[in-house]
Amino acid sequence: MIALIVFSLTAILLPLILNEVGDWSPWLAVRLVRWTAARLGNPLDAERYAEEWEANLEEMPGKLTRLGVAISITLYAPRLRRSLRRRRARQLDRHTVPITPPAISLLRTAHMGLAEARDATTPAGRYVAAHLAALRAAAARPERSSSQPLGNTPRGRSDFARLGCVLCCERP
Amino acid sequence: MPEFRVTDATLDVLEVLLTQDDTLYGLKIAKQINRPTGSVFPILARLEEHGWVESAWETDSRPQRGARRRLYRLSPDGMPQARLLVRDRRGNKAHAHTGRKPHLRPGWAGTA
Repeated sequence: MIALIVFSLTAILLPLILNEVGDWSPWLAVRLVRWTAARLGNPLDAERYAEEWEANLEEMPGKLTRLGVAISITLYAPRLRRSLRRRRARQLDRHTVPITPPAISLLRTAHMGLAEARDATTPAGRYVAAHLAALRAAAARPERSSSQPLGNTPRGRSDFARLGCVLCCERP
Repeated sequence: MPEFRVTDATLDVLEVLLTQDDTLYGLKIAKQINRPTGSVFPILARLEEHGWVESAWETDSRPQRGARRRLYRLSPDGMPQARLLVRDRRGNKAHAHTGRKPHLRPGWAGTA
C-alpha cells in the first residue's frame, strides 16, 4: 500500500505539480515583483522598479528561475526601501529652508509694503513703498538658520522666492 | 571617503560599473558578480542616492518587449571616486572578489 502511494506521488503527482508550478511561475514572478514594488513607499519608485524588474525577469530563460529571481528581489526589498527612504529624506532636507519667526514677521511687513506700493497713487510713493518692502525682505534673509548656507538653493530658486512662497501660503 | 557604507558587494558592483559597459542593468550586474539579483538593487540605489551612479531607461526600441530595462553607469563625478575607492580597498586584487572566472583558453604554447 505504502509502495503504491510513494509510486503515485513520485511518478504522477510530483511531475504534475512541478509542471503546474512551472507554468504558473512566470505569472507568479511578475505578480511578486509588482507587489514588492508597490511596497517601496513611493508611487514613482514603485512604477520604476516594477518595470525594471519585469524587464529583468524577461531576460531569464527558465520558468522557475524567474520565480527565484522574483523571490530574491522580494527578500532584498526592505534594504532597497531603506535606501529609497533615505534618498527621499536627503532630497527633502536639501530643498527645505527653515524660516525663523522674525524672518516671517519681516516678510509679512514687506508683503504689506508691496500692497501699499501697488495701491500708491504717485510714482514716488510707489517707489518708496516698494523700496522699503525690498529692504525689509533683505533684512529677513540673515534670520535664516545659521546652519544653512546663504545663496541660491540647489534647485536654483532664490531664498526670496522660497520665502515668498511661505508668505503666499499664509494670510498676513 | 564615501558617505555611505562600502561593503564587499558594493565594491563588486563598482568594479563592474568601471568596465564602462553601456548596457549594464540590474540582472546583468548581479550575474557578473555572482550575487543574488535582489541584492544589487539596494546597492545601486545607494550609489545613485550619492550621485556616483546614474541610470536611464534603455532607448533601444524593442516592440516585442513590454518592460524597458534600466541601464546603469557611473556618473562623471562618480567615475574617479569609484576608481580610487576600488584601488584603495582592493589594490591589485581588483576583480578577485567578483567571482568571475579567468578566461582559460586552450593554446599551443609550450608544445613546440
